[in-house]
Amino acid sequence: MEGADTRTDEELAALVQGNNQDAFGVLMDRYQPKLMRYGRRFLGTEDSIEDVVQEVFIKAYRNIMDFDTTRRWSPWIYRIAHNAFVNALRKKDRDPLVFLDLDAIVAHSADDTESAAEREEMRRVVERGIGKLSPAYREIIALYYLEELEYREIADVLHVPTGTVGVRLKRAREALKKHLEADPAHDSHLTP
Amino acid sequence: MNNPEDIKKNVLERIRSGQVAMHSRAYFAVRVAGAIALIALALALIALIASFGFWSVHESGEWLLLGFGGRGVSTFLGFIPWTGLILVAVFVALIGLQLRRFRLGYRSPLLFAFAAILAASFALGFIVSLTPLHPLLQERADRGELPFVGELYEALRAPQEDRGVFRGTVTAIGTDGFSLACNDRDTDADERTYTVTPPSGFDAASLHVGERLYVAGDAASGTVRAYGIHPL
Repeated sequence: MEGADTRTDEELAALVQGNNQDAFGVLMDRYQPKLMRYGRRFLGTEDSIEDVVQEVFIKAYRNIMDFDTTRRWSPWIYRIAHNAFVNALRKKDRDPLVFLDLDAIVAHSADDTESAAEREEMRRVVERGIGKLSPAYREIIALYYLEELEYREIADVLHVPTGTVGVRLKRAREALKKHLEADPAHDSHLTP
Repeated sequence: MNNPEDIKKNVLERIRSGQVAMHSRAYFAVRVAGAIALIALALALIALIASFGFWSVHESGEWLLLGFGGRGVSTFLGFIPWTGLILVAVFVALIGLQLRRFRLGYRSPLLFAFAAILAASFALGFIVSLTPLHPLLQERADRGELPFVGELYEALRAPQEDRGVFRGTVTAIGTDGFSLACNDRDTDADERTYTVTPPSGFDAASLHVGERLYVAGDAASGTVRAYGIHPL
């Protein structure tokens, strides 16, 4: 078994830009499980996830010169994955996303004040209820609680203002609470 | 369908065999330059349309309608060039879409972005409207030397009497009103003289023969019952 590679994602990306294909292999090792999990949560299915994730890596490699190595790698690759999963949803015509995003039209304040304990509690609840949400809510819940991206990073993934991330996350939590309260097996407390 | 363990192998094989190649930095630089050029072009077109709007409203005297009360405002709305406004909306949407590709664009709420685009292009349009650009184009249009947009400028000279607006020169002043020869400052044979009855409270004594006026009112049998009069 190989020892853990201590180089950062951004350092590896810089090496790939210099034509180091092995560095891209390391990035794939790191991100394949994350993107598979993100895809499963976003699409709410196991079908074709591998094919979509493979396309994500191919697109990432093709476009890697567009990556600014002074910024974080994860929002960049999640952005590519977001587009690929949105396209997959469109192709299947299941629960298509609403592309006129009313929350992105006006300004909202971003309220990223959840404590670590609250976030951990939500993470457990989310695991059970995420499948009941619409794709737009599933995605933002997955990015925040399961992929552990910050508001600014999610804003970069979804190409929306940071305040929109906050308001959409709040609505997703409320929707999750509603679904779980309607579920008789629900035994957890939720604070949206 | 791929197995999860095959993904890395497949991708690296395709990279190493040359089936998948990375785009060069120049490719992205050209794309960004193209987006910026498109934004600049759309901004320039909005500014040009807006400048024509500002200039033509001032040149034709239509802005005076806004001082003629509710009826004046209603008539003014009828003069708004809706085609131009629709074009502006299309260009604003185009700029908005292009800006969403950049962090600065998507990090701002759409409403702010659109308001900023409109404010910037209208401010630029107002500045352009103060330059000699449109008077020069008007002169070319008058000589019939302005293709494509010449009609827009010629329309400014057209009589608007059927829409209740009269531009002309005072030729005589009587006790109940005055005579107005509408000549529109052009060479067409569209001159017609109206007897104008001013609105109540209007001081007809302040007029003098030869004065150019902008009159809004209802015309019937050569008489205009005016609801607004303003010197040009």
